[in-house]
Amino acid sequence: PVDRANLLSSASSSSSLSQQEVATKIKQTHRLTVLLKHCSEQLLAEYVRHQGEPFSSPDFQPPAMAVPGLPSPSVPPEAWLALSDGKRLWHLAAAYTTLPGLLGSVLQQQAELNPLASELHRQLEAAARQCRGLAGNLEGIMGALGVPGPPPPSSSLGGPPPSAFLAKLSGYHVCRLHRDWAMRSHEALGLLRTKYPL
Amino acid sequence: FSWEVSCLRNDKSQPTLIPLTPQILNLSADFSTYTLYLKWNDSGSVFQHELDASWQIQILYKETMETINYDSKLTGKDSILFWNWTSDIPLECTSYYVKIRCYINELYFTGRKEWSEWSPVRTVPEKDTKPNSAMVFPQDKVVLVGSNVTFCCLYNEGKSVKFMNYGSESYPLLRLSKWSSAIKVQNVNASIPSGTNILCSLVPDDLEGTVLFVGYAPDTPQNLNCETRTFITITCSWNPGRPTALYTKRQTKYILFERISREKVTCKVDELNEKHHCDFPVHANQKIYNFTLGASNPLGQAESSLLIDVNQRVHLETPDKFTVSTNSSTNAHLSWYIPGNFIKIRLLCQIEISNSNSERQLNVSMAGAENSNYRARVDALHPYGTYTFRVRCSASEYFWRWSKWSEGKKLTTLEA
Repeated sequence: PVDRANLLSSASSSSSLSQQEVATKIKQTHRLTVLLKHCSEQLLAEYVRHQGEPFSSPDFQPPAMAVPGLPSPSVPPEAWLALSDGKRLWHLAAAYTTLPGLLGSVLQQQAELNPLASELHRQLEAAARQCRGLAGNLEGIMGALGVPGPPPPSSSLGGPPPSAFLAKLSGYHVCRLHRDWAMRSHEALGLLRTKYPL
Repeated sequence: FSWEVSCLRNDKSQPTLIPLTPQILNLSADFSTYTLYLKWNDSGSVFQHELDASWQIQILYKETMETINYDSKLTGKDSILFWNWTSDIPLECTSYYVKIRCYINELYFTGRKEWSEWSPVRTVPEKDTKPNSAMVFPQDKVVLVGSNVTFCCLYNEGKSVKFMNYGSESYPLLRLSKWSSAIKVQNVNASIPSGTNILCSLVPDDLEGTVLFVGYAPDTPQNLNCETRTFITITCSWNPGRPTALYTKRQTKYILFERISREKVTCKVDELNEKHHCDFPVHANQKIYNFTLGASNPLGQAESSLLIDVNQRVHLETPDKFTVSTNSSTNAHLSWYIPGNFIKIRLLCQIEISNSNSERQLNVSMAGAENSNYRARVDALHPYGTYTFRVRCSASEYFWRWSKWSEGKKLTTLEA
């Protein structure tokens, strides 16, 4: 309650949205995360299907690989829940302003490696679009709640990867992080929704 | 008969012919083809006449050694000799040490003949001499289906290989050096579009890999056909034949070369499309075109040829803007448009006239024009009769192919 009170008090001063409108925005965004969660699972499955073994084997667990600009949601659940609503929103916004550029880079690489995989290309495009949508919603909510936005994103995976294997591996990590962030955003918006009921 | 022996060791008891120690001028490597290139001076000017010389080239790699014999002819002058050798494993996998020695088979020399000293060793310094980061080689190689390929994994000090997989299969590890292990894969199958993955799992917790693209050389382009639709361009189409399993930057590239004008066109083909085609400009005063379609990819090339007389390969576009009209009870006026420049030829057009109980075809010949409308009149129609008309055309003098039929147009003649 204290956390929400602080947000509300700072919100009312900084935006014209009424509390009803903020709650509606949060509900819409939560629905978007449901879609994102489902689609990100599908995307990861479709992605590994086209990279060949061992990517496509269920027990493929490569060591984590840092993806430039995209933090992994490595904050353990308890610590994540202990964060303030504003801090959580900030982390989500940072991830979702970066993901579209990364997914765009993966799409470029896959168009080269898997030119026939039109369904994978379509899902990558849709994922980038959904991430942009979620980033926009998050920005709206943060503005309404008076939470400062994240820094501008570093747009993509950098230049073309030095090899086909690294292209496959970095693409795999982006898709996996996309799924992890979708699960985390779904959880965070669910929490926010309980605090801002309609 | 005299020869000057500059490398003769003047051993009073028995003269011995020992060639000068050769000097390697250059040792270089082409990693993409696993080939070493050696260059040295044969010091032929030491002798006044032609002599047979034998060389031994020793290559030390992977803690084993390979000795190769090579013969040449000394010609009384210094000659630079070139020789190359292709390894069965990527050059990056281990260091290569090369040295060379010489033996002169002087038939008229009655004394003992011995090999020269070995030349100083030359090395192609490689990544396995303390690689700065783990890597797997070869990187993104393209090979033919059925090839045998060796992959090596280079890793830093303090690391070791847990396993190396080709696709989903684990292979026995071959130790190349302290920082390099390899696997040998036999008779590889065609890979998926994104290539077969080779994984090197390292202890404590690292993963490196590479991708192998396995496919076929291009097939001979099949059913090559070239025709003109507009007398502006000639369109050649063909069937690529057996798929190569290689895509995008490894896909088959096609070049259409015309021998008479010596002009060539790089064809843009859509690898997702079964049928390929390519446009070549019609030249003002050229009738005969001698085409060669070249297909090439990283694994090989193939070609097909076709000689045509462009006037005999006219395949008109579908007649467009087809209209029918009448102001009488027994005839009708037809008009249609065909794109293209047919000034030099006559056209043959076939008009189909059908009604509920009959169908007849009328052939009309007319002068060709440029991007023009064409007209015809159909007579002997019945008064107040309802007819459906459509038209198709072809070259008149040398028939090659009809165009498609135009759309059908219905008309009712006036009452008598």
